[in-house]
Amino acid sequence: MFIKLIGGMIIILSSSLIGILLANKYIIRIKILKTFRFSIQLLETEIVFTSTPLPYAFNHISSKIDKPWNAFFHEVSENLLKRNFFTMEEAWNSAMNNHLDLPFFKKSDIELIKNFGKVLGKSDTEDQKKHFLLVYAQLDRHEEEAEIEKKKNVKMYKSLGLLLGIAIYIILI
Amino acid sequence: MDVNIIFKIAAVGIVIAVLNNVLIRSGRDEMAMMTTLTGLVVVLMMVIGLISRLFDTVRTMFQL
Repeated sequence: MFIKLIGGMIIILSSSLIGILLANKYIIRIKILKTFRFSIQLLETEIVFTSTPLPYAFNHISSKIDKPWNAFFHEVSENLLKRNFFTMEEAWNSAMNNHLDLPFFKKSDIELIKNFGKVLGKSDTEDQKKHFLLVYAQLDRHEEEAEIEKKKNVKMYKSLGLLLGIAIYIILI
Repeated sequence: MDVNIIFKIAAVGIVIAVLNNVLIRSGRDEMAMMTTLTGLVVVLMMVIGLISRLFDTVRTMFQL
């Protein structure tokens, strides 16, 4: 009798934890996108106002923001300083493969970041400014979409996990 | 004859009803339909033994 109760508790607890885990995916995606926006705002300031060379600018940024972008920008900076690659784009993509292979990202997010790496450091300040504006607009759209998905899915996954756990327990009794 | 199965079926019904509501509210109507059907099947599985026993009893009572 007592063992049955404990087993049921474990079933309900684990299934509601699975629900929370699935719901967290949507919360974390929007958080990461917001951090990315913050970090490229910092980058824009570095480029427009102080004209810092990219490797040092990346290094400055990586000390100011949190996971997972700090490791990413640090590696881009290292790649550039140690001259591991021929172009900025290759350094950017290699760091992306190492640090941004996260389950929270959608393909479109990855594509956006990749495209941003292509144009970075290729032209003068004025032109770079335009590219930054473009990326902000695209990020806006992605964040909006992530917000809608979050609203739709988070509550559902949480209650779904709990309720399915209870259903399994009742059927097994 | 135990009364427990009645409570069990009632509990399944309540849980399925809440699940249905949650799914419909988040715009997944066809999934809500599927859960309802699954609940129905599960409850049918529970009572199918009892139903067959009832038929057997009826048959033996009237010697058919």
